[in-house]
Amino acid sequence: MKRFATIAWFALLASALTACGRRAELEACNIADASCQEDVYYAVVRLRGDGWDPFDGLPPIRTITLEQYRDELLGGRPRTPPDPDDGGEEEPEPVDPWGVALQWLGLITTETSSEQASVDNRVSNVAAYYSSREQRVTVIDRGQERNDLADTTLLVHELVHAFQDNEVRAAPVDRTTDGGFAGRAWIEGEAVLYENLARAELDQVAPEHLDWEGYYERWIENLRRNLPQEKSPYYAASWFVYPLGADRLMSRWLEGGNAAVRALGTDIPRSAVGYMAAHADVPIDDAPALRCRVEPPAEGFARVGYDRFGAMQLYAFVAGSAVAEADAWRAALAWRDDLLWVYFDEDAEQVAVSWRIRLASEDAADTVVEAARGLPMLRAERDGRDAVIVGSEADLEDWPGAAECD
Amino acid sequence: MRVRQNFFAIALLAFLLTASSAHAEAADLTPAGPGRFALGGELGYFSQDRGQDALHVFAPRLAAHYAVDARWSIAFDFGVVMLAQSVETGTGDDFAFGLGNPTGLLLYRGELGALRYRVGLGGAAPVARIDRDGSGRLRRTAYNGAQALSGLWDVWLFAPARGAVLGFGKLEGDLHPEAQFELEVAPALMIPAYEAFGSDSLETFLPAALTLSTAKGPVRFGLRFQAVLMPASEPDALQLALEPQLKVDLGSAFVEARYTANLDEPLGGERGPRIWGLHLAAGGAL
Repeated sequence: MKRFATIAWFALLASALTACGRRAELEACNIADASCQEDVYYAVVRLRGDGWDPFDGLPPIRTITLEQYRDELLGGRPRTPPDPDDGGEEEPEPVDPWGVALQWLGLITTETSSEQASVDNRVSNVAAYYSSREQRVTVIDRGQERNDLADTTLLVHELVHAFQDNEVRAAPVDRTTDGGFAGRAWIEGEAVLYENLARAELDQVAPEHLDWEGYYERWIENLRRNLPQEKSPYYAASWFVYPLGADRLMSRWLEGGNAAVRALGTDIPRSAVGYMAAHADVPIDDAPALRCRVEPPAEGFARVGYDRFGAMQLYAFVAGSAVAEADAWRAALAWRDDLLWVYFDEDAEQVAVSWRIRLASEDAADTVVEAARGLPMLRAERDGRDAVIVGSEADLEDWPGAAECD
Repeated sequence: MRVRQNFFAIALLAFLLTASSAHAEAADLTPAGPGRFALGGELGYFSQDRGQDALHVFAPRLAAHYAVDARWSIAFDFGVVMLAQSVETGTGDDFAFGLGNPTGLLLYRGELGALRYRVGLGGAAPVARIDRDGSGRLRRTAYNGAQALSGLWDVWLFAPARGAVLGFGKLEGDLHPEAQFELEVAPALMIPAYEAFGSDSLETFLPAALTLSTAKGPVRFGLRFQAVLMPASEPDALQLALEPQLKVDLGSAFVEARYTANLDEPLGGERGPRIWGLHLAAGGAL
């Protein structure tokens, strides 16, 4: 009997240990507290349903001020450019051909460099981020009164990125702007998905009973409404990764839970138009990919940029012009392929750019051409269902750009 | 649903193949004598049904033990993990397969008065890896499940992108003619490999377990209390588990069933993913 008593004692101890646990449901908390961070971490583990990885626990979490964040982004450079009236000769800024190309295309404002525009964009919009290199979550303290509800879901979002760090490559599609958008839409979409599921849990609402379609529609509508006024549409367009990605992932989650989301990893859209079309519920017909022969504009020019911008940057380009926003969105949905070349003559400090966009219809191509003709440095023609855009200084106006394509 | 049916068929086949020869804790197999082999196999299983989707994890393992002489022996352990997930509606049925890390131990056995002991030293080769090109999350779920089945006791067997240097110690004795205790430790130094090499640091796992068992004829019932200390792990550095065991000796062979209940976070408790493990094993001396 004694040995059975010993075994029973162990069983009792075990049940006591299981009983002294903490609450399973997530509650809004102060994310600066270690216990709150633990609760949020376990909520992410539970919501994702992937078990627990003993080699990938809770990453360090730090809080910095907005000024510290700007300084880190600038990497030691001054927050404001030096004033030439302060005396001393100002060192001329080297020409950034990529930045010049984006300015000519109206995708960033002409007063700022592409780097400065990127920093401004992030300082204005980023509330927290996960650094894969440092394997650390950073929360940016914007000085307002603490909002535990918003902060808790924000931490859920960033911790999802920490989990993804061991599961997906940084560029899951390809290294083009379009592939980057598609990859980020998947990564950010998943983070928003679990952030929203956590929010539903905090609100004690079953997520299946909420109007997610309407929620993401309103989010996208809001971004679309603001984009034509943005100083740098190129960076503003990147914010669409959140609602477009989450819209796709949430619809899959509602059907098949985490299993459907896991399986989507091998079947994600390869370009921005895939997410846009899924959101609009329109099919995408196949079109032949662009294959072009592009000669440099003149001797001394070398190719310094080659990219596929994708439907979202096409939308940003057209919406940033005089064309109506709704027409810009329609034209972007008609995107089938594009290629962009940037050439640079280092000695003459001259830039030339050509962008060819293949669309599903001639009407859409006309819309793109109309948008390009409104910009001073660009020339544009329609070639079948392709829009051919060329940007250069006046002495290179004979350069045809990407005129010879299959 | 078809994925689920196929998966069960594969898992059953895998179990039959390994169970024909088998138990999983390589060090637990006892060859009949010098120059003799013992073979064992085990199937670990876990499932979770969340309404919209379901998950099944199978981890079949094969273990071999060869006695060089009356004191020295060599043990080998290898497993694979299979995960099947299914969805109630829509698309999402999927399957993942992953190799485990082959593990070897050099063991020495001896006596301390009335107590018997074994000590050993060995390692695990980093064969398990996660494909990060799309199916990474599914593969990681499979490895997470396989590691959790035994309450992280032998985490090195299914640790992706990691090798290990292992130690092993076991002390056993009789409390009564029909009651026995076993005290085990299996410290492991986990060494990052492949993409984890250079980015992740060395980690130590310190598993310790006490098993109390009682036998009536060929039937032995035991209860194992297990603690795995992971000093570098955040947010919880200790995993406790309780494991009832039932073993039936059949001459020089045995069959065994075990259930691993993870008691607290990170694997169990209120906030953990509540993973458990069911183990069916068989083996014997040749």
